[in-house]
Amino acid sequence: MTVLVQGHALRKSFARTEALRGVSVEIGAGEILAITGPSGSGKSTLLLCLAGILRPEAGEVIFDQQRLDRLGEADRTRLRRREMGIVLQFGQLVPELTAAQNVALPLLLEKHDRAAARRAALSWLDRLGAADLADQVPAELSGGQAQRVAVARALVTGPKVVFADEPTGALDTVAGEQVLGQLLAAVRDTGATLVMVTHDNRVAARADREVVLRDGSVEAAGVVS
Amino acid sequence: MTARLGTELRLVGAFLSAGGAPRAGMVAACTALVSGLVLVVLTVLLFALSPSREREQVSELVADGGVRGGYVLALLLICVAPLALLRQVIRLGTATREQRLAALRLAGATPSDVRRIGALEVGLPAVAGGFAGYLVFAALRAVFGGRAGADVGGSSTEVARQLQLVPTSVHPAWWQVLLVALGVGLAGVLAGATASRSLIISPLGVSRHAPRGAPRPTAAVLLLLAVPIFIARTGFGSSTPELDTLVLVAALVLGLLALAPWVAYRVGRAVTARATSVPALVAGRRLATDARAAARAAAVVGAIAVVAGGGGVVPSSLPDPSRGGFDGVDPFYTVPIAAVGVVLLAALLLVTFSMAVHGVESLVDRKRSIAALAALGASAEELERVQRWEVGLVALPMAVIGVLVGSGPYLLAFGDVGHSYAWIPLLVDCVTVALVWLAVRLSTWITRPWLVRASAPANLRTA
Repeated sequence: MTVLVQGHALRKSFARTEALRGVSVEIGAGEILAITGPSGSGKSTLLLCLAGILRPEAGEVIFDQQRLDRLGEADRTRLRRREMGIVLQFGQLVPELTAAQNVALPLLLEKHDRAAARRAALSWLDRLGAADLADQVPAELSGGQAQRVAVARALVTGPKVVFADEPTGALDTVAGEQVLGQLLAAVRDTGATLVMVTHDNRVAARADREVVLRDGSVEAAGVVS
Repeated sequence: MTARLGTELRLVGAFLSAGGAPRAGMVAACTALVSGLVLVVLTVLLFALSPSREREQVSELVADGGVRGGYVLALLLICVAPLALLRQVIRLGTATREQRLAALRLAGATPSDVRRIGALEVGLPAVAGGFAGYLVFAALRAVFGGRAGADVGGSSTEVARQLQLVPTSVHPAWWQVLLVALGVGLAGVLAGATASRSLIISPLGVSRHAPRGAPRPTAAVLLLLAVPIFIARTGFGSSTPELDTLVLVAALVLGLLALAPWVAYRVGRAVTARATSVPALVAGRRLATDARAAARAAAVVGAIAVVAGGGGVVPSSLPDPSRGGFDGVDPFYTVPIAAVGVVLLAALLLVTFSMAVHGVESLVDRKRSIAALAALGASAEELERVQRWEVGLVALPMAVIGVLVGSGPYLLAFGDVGHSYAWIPLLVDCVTVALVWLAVRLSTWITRPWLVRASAPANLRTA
């Protein structure tokens, strides 16, 4: 399998806390990887480093054969919006925009035509069973609905990889299961890679492979049985 | 009762020392400016009633009963800018303060306890500023004070005389100073109370009453009221032209201040419908969903522009081409015009801070979605443009409307194509709009550190 994302000997600290202590990880194209571990183990920090949102203090991040950690902020930003999708725990939708406008955002950032961006957004909302939410603002959506909109936003550009930080962490079991099912189905359909942080074993069990972190180091890694 | 007040004062002291001092300082600065200006107004009124006023050499604006009313109104209108800034400053750190008030409720404070603590937090610096206003008054009196003695001739001394805008032969009594300080302080407390009137503070957090509907253009009534006054003032030889002018200016200024939310709302909707870029879309939607916040910050731009537009007409009527243009124009006219220009620039600077304060609050309130936008791939420039569009979409239309309302009727009524100086009002209009644009850019530049903080990845994980 071709390696799409690679983190090598990553180190990252916040004040006096070492969040990552030389973590190395490889993620293949089309793979679904779960990063698990207890609170404070460095899961989200690793995800944000791999996505180029945080820059590690030491180590290398290679995305699609490019040294992500060597790129400047503007180049990382451009790469992220073209090649990556991001799903966060609380959806993090722009509160003033409608669901369709939120989904269209990454395309508009790429200067796509407004009408074409809206069509693509509606198509993805429809695919995720959320077409009827298109003109609602985030305040009118339930947690599960907002998260489906966030998933649509992550996938609308056709990214090579989707990074998801606790995508079901703020949802009840039923809504969480529904969102996870739709996210997994969508990435499998598109052939995208999925890297998701979770503390939920049931979510991790749906991945192809699991990396377990503890105190900023990889404790275990392996194929999910 | 005393013990409770002592506890509340200690709490307020702790809040101020724990990061509330800049807000308190800005509240005090605003009320000091207002208080100082009100004391100048009071002094001018006392001068008008003083039997010994003939013995002091002051500007015609103070000495001449025919224009004194206009001068007093101008001083009161100047107060609008610091009062508007005060309304904005009171909202600084809203999120932190609301969390703190909710925590106080959780600790057992009643709703009235919490309201009283909130009022003290604003009231104490506001009253302190009210008293500090006496220093502002003293400074203005020292710089622009009148001189005892007879009038002497000469154009340079004439300019100096027209700058003697604060009489020194009279002085407000101690109880008048006290009343002004407390009155201005009370205005600060009321501004604080209106800022938090939509809040419901419970031990579980802060919620808001249902938002009001979309803004309506009811303030246009005030602008319409100005039409017959203008016609009477210019067309029918009014018997009270000074009074008519005062009412006209007041109606236009208040009308534009009140119209700002509706303008912001309509512009927001129009931009959203046509936006092709993310900054335009996000800023347009922000205005369409909550026009009042940005309008509150930029409303004074309309007032500044209407005065600048109207004031820009005056210089075009002064020079006489047959007598060397501007040479020989009486300082009676030029000094007040220059003074108005300086005051308008100062007011625009205050509006710049007001827009910056709005920008900071907007960033603090929206840090989660801003961080998400950054994570999605919005560049720092695009995020900064969102902030700039948000205030610019209110400030620039208000500036254009203001200068058109201010100078348009005069240009339509008296615009003479052959007039040698007809370009002056147009130039003033263009310069005003350009300065507002610069103010918008400056306000966004001031907020840059907060934008960097709001787009930090740490905000991605906050609920």
